[in-house]
Amino acid sequence: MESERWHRVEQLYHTALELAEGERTAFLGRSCGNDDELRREVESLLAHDKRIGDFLEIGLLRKKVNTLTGQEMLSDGTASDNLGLVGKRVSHYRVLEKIGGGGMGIVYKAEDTRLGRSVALKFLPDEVARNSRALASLRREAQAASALNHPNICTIYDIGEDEGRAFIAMEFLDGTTLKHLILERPIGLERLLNIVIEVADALSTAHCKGIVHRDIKPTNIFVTELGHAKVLDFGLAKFTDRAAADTERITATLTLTQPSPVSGEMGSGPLTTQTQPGAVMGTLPYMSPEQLQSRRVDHRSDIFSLGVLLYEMTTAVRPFRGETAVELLAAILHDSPKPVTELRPELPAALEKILDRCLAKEADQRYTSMMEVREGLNRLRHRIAPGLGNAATAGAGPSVAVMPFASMSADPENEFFADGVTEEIINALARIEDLHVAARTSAFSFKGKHVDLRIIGERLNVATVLEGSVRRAGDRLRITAQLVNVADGYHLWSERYDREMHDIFAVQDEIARSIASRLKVSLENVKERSLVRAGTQNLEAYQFYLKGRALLYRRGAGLPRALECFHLAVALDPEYALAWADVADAYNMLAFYGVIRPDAIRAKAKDAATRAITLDPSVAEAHNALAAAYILNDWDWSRGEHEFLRALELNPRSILARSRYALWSLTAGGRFDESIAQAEESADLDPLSGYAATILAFAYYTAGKLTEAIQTARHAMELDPDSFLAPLGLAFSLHSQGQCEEAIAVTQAGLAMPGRHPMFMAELAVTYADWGKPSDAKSVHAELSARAAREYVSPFLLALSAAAAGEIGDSMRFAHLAFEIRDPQLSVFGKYWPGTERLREDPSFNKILESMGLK
Amino acid sequence: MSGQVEWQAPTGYGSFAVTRAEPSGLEGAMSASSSEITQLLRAWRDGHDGALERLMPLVYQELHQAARRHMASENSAQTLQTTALVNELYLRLVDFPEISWQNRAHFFAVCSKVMRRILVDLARSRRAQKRGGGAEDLPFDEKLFFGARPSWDLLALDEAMNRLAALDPRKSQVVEMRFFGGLSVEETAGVLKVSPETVLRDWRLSRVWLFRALSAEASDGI
Repeated sequence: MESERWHRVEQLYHTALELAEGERTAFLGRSCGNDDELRREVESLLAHDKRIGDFLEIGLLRKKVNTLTGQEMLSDGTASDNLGLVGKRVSHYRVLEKIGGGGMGIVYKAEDTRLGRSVALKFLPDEVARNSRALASLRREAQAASALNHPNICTIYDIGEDEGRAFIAMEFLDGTTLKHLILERPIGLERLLNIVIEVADALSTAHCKGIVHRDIKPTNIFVTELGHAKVLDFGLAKFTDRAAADTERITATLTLTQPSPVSGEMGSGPLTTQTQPGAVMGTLPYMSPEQLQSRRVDHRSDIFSLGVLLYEMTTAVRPFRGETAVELLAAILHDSPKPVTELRPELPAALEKILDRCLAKEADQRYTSMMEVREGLNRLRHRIAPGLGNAATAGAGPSVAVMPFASMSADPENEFFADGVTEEIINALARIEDLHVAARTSAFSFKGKHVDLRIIGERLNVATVLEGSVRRAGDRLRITAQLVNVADGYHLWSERYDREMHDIFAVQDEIARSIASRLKVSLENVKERSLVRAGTQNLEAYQFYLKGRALLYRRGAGLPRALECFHLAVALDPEYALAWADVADAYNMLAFYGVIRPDAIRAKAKDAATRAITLDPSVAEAHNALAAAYILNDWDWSRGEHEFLRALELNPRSILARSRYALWSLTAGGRFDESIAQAEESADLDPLSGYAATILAFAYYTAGKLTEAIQTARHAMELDPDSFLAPLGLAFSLHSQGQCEEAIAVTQAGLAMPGRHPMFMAELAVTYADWGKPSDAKSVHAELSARAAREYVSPFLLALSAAAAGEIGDSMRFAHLAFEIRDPQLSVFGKYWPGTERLREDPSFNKILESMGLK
Repeated sequence: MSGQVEWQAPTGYGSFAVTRAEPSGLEGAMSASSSEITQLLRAWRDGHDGALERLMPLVYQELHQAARRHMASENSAQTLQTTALVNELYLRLVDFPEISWQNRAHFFAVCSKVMRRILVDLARSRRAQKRGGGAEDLPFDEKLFFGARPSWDLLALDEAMNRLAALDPRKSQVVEMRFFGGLSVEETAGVLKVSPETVLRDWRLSRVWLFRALSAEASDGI
């Protein structure tokens, strides 16, 4: 049957893909037997898989739009590429893609083949190119802007002509337009001041050269990835000495339409205010009264337009509005705008004053120069961001705790995402040497709790706290963040980011940098160019990764699902080193907790970790996972230690790597003092982490410091009442101190956790035996053996419970099996589980420990 | 959503528009029944399943008309932009708030079928034009779809997908949703009621199968 055959092809294909390339031929040979046709079919698919590239990978829809003009690209579907230039050469430029366009020109991204850099090429649409006035405007733009050399003005490289078509080559910018940023709600005051100050600075320079922009509006201000403003489109610019001769009348056809009820309700009323090519000069809502009245226009017209822009940026509404164009015109000419402090009472009165002076109807009542505007804005900025004395003096040095960002969507997936954003920012900040950052688990211990900031500050030993929220709707992303001074609740900084999903890493980096700058810490010692490691460009892979992380943190039943998520992530992006590292560590954890047989995954953990390191040797998590694999599966203690140290070198703040190094590596070698020192350091770094405290308790326990162990384990249970390992550590210590009854109570509590974990069962059996209750020990062992008949149970644990039940023969059989399959429980606890003395009575167990390298 | 909206009027203010003297084909097409579409979307969101059925022909009609009108008004060099146009319309339709994630995925899934039909129709009519009218030999710019590869023929892809569907219908559906509809792995999984892993496996095999089918045709000169 054809479908059966197809099914077989499918199976073989996927299995073969899992194998190393060298092993595939042999595998297919074995699996296909004489069926050559089947083998050829699978081989042919595998061969094509190698060459497939990104075939079909980029879906037709929801393509990412990250271009010079940001979302303009979609909106300008109407301003079509009737030039048909994509893929062609224009002069010495190779045109790559259309990135936007408005009434006055079409913009392409292109490569300058001589200089090898990206440029933006601006052409006039054909129908406009015939219009000599538009052509003149394009030339004027080139001329005007090229006369200006300013970091906040888009640089013009070249003006050229190709087949009779004039174009401008200019700086290619990554980022978005201001319009995009303003979209719905106001931008944080400090950030918007920074942007407007830069714009004012740029315009001030232009004015000094006698150039007036005349079309200042959000779509003409570009904000780069690094948050700097670039003024675009000097297309309407006039040299002032010629302005008088160039009075223009508004000749646009203003078509007034009433909103349809439906579109009104949908919140997308058809309100367009486009510049009609060759007709209206300027954009209506931003035009000055003198521009509207076709009076003489000078630099003070730009001051007015900047005022409109500033007003809109702070309040998200424009100062002058009207139901019809005529009303809008009237409003600009006659109305006083509503004071911004009325719309947003928290805004400073000084801002109100600046706006008043910018928006005066008569030009001579405005600021006399853009320089003055700039200075006014600058003073305001200093006033709202008065140094950071508070934060800096509160502790020994600058410090911050990042609270889990609130998830603002009902969708549970968004919570993984919000947690991921939080963690990424913590990691980014942790890369800054001079900044004390509260570790993840400690910060997350406040998740979902309403705790006073001062208490948070005290418990985490930080002077400032970063709070935020994350909302995602489709490809849209909104992140808010605010930095609060713990001592007085003062908001040091706040910001809102409206972006698209693919900007996620850039936003995180921006937030981390903003905090660094507000806390005045130097980034000089940061080696990486970006604080945030993007890891992947594939957002689907990233989301699976985050989900996997969240599940990994939950351990227990989440582990298999975590592994699944990481597998999906690497399937989507096979070069995703971080996800490979977590594939490896998920295998380690699954084997450690006995969810899967260790011999089934032994090679897989190491392969995945090695693959991660090959892809990116600087990923600490990969070294940590490889170290774990060496120790748990190979008993290769020296390589394990080496990899742990490498992980800690790359990320000294990795609690996981330090804890494992303490307990798995140092303890195994009998280096108890070092082990305790490392575990103490972890616990200091992450003071509210139950995990770090638990490991410290185990370190004390293995060193025989039982009183400290009991105290620390109790503390760990307080920190994390759901901790799995903390009660085990407590039980070990109590048990070893002879407090068997207490130990049993704690162990029973451990068994009450879902899954009735075999680790607690073994411990229970051993404690009963030591407490002189052999029949109880026997019945626990019977339960565990019965379980082993149904599912995998760690043979080392079975050896312990069998010995406790007095079945020494079985016990040794299990111990040998544990040795054979390299049971991680044996690797970690072979020497230290209370009750191993019974096993050691048999010399063959000592031999096992010896061959493992544990004396 | 519409990029044309520069500023959203507060409720009750109404709004005005300064439009081009001649509305483009896109805007013309949208105005005809977009309100009906919106109403159906709303009805569907509110649980009227029948609305989806009535919606799809309308969506198809809208998309198709707009694309055709646009093509007719421009020369054949224009084809590249058709996709952008259809994209634009499509995005307007689907970016409707308050639709639950599942419903949205479902809607995308249906739209992906529509998208496929429209694009294939367009490619077919363009081919006919080319044969009949001796228009310049401009490939329908599948580069947009297929990345930097030699321009594959969309019609060939469609035919290959039909063959794949005969062999394994779900595989073809996965391609339709992911490629034509832009659904994520998880969305696709949700619509098809299978695990994301299954979708990924299907996706991987379908891609390579189709890639091989198209490569073979390209080398056979078909």
